[in-house]
Amino acid sequence: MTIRFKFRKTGCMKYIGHLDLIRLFQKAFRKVDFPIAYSSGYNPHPLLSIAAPLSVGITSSGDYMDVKINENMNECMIDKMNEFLPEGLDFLSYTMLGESQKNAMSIVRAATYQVRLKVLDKMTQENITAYLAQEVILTQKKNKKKITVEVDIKKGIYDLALEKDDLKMVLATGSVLNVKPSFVIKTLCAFLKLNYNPFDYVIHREDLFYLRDGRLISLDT
Amino acid sequence: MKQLRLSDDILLSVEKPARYIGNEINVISKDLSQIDIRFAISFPDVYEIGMSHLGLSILYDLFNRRQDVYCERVFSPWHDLEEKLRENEIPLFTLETQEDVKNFDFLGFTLQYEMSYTNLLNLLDLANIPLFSKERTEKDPIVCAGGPCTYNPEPVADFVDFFYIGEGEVMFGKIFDLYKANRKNGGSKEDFLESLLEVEGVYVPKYYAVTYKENGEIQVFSPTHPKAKSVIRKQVVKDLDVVAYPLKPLVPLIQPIHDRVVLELFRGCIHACRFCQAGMVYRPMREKNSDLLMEQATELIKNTGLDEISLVSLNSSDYTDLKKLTDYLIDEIGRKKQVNLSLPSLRIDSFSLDIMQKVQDLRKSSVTFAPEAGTQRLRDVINKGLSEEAIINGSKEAFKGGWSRVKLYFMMGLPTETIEDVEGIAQLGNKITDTYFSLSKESRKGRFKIVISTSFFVPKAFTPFQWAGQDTYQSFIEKRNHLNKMINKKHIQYNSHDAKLSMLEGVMARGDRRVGQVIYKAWKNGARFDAWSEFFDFDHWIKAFEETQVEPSFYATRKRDKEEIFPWDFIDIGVTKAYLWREYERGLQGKTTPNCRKACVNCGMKSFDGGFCSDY
Ligand code: SF4
Repeated sequence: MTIRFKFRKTGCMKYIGHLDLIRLFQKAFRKVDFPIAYSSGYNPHPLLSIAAPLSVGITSSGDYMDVKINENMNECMIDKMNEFLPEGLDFLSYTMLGESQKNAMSIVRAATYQVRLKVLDKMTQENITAYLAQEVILTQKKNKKKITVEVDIKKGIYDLALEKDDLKMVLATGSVLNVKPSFVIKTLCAFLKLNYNPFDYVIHREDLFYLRDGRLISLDT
Repeated sequence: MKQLRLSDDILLSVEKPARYIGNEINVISKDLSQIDIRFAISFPDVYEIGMSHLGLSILYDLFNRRQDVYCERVFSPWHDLEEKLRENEIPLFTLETQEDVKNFDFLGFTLQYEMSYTNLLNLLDLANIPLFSKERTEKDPIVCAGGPCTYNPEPVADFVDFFYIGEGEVMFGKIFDLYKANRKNGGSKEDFLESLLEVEGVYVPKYYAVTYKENGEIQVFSPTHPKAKSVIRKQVVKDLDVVAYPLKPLVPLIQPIHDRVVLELFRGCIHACRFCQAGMVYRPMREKNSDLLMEQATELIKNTGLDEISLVSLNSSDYTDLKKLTDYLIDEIGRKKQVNLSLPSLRIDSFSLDIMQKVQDLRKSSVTFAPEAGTQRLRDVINKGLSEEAIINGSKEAFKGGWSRVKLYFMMGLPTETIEDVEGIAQLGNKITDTYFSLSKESRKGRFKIVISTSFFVPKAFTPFQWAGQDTYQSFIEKRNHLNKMINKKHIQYNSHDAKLSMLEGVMARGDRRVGQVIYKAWKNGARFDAWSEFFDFDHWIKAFEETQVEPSFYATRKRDKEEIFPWDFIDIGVTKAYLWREYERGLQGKTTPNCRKACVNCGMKSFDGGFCSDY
C-alpha cells in the first residue's frame, strides 16, 4: 500500500535541504511507530519519496511524499507527527493510492509559484507580456554532466502574471521539463535590463500538478 | 513563527544556514515574562560539534527544568558567517530567541579541549562583550566556564568571571538562587561574585593573586578576599540514578557529528592510566542502574525518533550489567524498532566481539585497540593494562569472526620512551599482520588492513605525569619519521597528529595566568578554530609568544620538581597530589598499579564518600 501525504514547509524550514528533510520525516515516522515499509538488505531504509524536492530558500504549501506502508495507519498518528515535527513542517492531508497509481515523483508536470517582489521597478503587466512574446527565452543551465548549456525555457513557462506585488507563475516541473522560478526571474531581469539580486524575490511554491487529458490537476486530488 | 535574526541574503549565502535558526525538535521555548534568569550556554565550536556533546545537553535540560531560568544556546559561527556578522555589525545572538547574547544574565562555556580557547575569545568579541573580566561592566553578562579543561582554569582566568569545578548538577541551583537574591537586594555584579565565595566548587579568579619566583615558578597562590576559600573542591554527583537526565534531548534539523541517542552508563573510571586526565578528575566510578538505563533508552527513542543508540562512558566494558543491558537494547529495541546500537570504547574480547557481531556490518566496521605504547615495558610505565597477548588474541578472534580491519591508537613521547618503544609500534602492526595471514585462507574474510594512528603525548594537570616534560617538537618529528620508515605500508596505513598542535596543547594544559596573554594575542593575530587543521595557523601563536615574551618550553618541555606549586594545586579533585607523585615514581620504575576493582590504593577519593570507593 502506498499513502500520499501532502505537507508544507514554511518559515525557517526553508533553510533545510532535501536530505535533512527526509531524515526529519524518518524520525517522525519512528516516533509514532508508523507502519512504514523498509527496503531489504543489510541497511534497510524506509521506502519514501518526495516529489520535485525544493531548493533551499523556498517555502511551500503543497508538497507531496509517497510512503509505502505494511499495514493500515492510525489516523491520530498524523497529529502526533505534526506535534513532533519542527514548527514550519506539517502534514496537511493524505490519500491512499490505488495499486495502479504511479508515484508522485514520476507524474509531476507543473508547479505554481508566488514570488513576492521587493523591488517593483519596471514590473508591469505590459513588460511581462513583452517578455513572454520573445521568440525564445534563453538561459544557461548545467546539464547532468555538469557542463553549462544554453536552453530555451519558453515552452516551460505555462503562465506568468502580475498580481499586486507578486508574480504568479505556472512552470514546467519534473523529469520531462523543469523550469526553476529563478530561471524566469533572471531572464526577466535581463530582458528588462534590471540588476538581478536573488534576495529581492521571495519564492513560495503553492502546489504541484500532473497531467490528465491535457489538463493540469493538483496532486491533492 | 519566530523572527529570525539574520535575513535571507545572509542565511542563504552561508554554508548550512540551519546552524543559526534554532527551531530543533524538542527545543525549549518559554514565556519570557515568567523568567528571572536568562542563561546563554555555549560550546565554543561549530554547531554540529556542540550539538553532539552530552554535557551540553545535560546542562541545557537541567537549567531549563527550573521555571525561573531560560537557558538558550550559542555556538561559534563558522568563518563565513563571522565575516557577515562583522561586516553588518550584527552582534552574536542565541538560537532560541535570536536575541543578543550581551543582554543575558549569564554566558556559560563548556571547555572540552584547550584548542577552543581562541574560540571562546572570539565568541565574546562577536557578542560585543569585553574579553577581559576586569573590563566588563554591570551591563555585560556574567561569564562562567566549566568542563574538563577548567580543572586547570588559570590560562583563561582573566577572561572568565567564575569557574564551576565539577559536575553541574550539584551546585548550579544554589548559584541561581544567589543571583536572584542579590538582584532583589539591588546588589551589584561584584556583590554577586562575592556571594559565590561561599559556594563549594566555585572559583572566582579575581579574588586570588599569584606571585612568581625568579625562575618563573609560582611562589604563592593565595586568596585576596577574606571569604575566598584557599581550596576549591570539585563537585560530584553521588548517585547518578537520582539526578535529572535529558529524556527529551534536542534533535537538530541538520546532521550533527553524532546523530544518535546517548546513554550514559557511568561516570569516572576504575583504571589508573597515568597519562589520562579524565581517569583522575572524574573519579570515583559511579554506575547507573541498568533497569533505569533500559527505561531511559526506550523513552529516548520514543522522544527523538532517532535510529541509533550509543553507550557512553570512559570504558564501557567495565559496566557491571553490560550483558543484560546490551541484550535488551539489541533484542527489545534494536530488532523491534530498527534501531542500531553503537558501542564505542569496548575492550576487544570474545564477549564484546559477540555483541559487535550482532550490531555491526562487519564489512564496514573495524576493531579498535588503544595500546597507547608499543612495548610492554612502556605500557607498564603508563599503567595501561592491555597486554600484547590480549591484542593478538583479540585480533585473532576478530579475524575468525569476520573482521578484517584493525585500528590501533598510540602516543609518542611518553615518559621514558626509547627508540625501541617507537619501533615496537611498527612491530605490533607486523605481529597483527602475521596473525591474520597465519589463519587458513578460508577463514580470512574481506580485505585486510591496519590503520595505525599516533598522537603526541601532552602531560596534563592532575595526572601522575603532571611533573613530566613533554617531548620537544624536534624529537616528535624524528620519532614520527622513524616510525613512518619502519611501518610496512603494504597492509598498514599510518596517520600522525600535528606536532605543533600538541606542543601548544602542552603549553595550555599546564599553563598559568600568564598564558592568558598568549591566547589573547594569538586571537588578535587571527587564531580561531585552532582544533580544525584547515584553520590552524601556527604563525599566529609564534608571534603571540614573541609579543608576550612567554617561553613555551617553560610550560611544555620542562620537567618539574616534586615540590613545585602548580597553578592548579588549589583545586581539590579528591585524588591527592601525594598519590599522583607515588604513581609517577612507580611509573618511572615500570611498576603497575591495580585497578579499583582489584584493590583500592587509597588515591584520596574516599573522602568524597560515594560511588565505587564506598565498597572499601
Ligand atoms: S579511593 Fe580507591 S577505589 Fe576510590 S578511586 Fe581511589 S583507588 Fe579507586
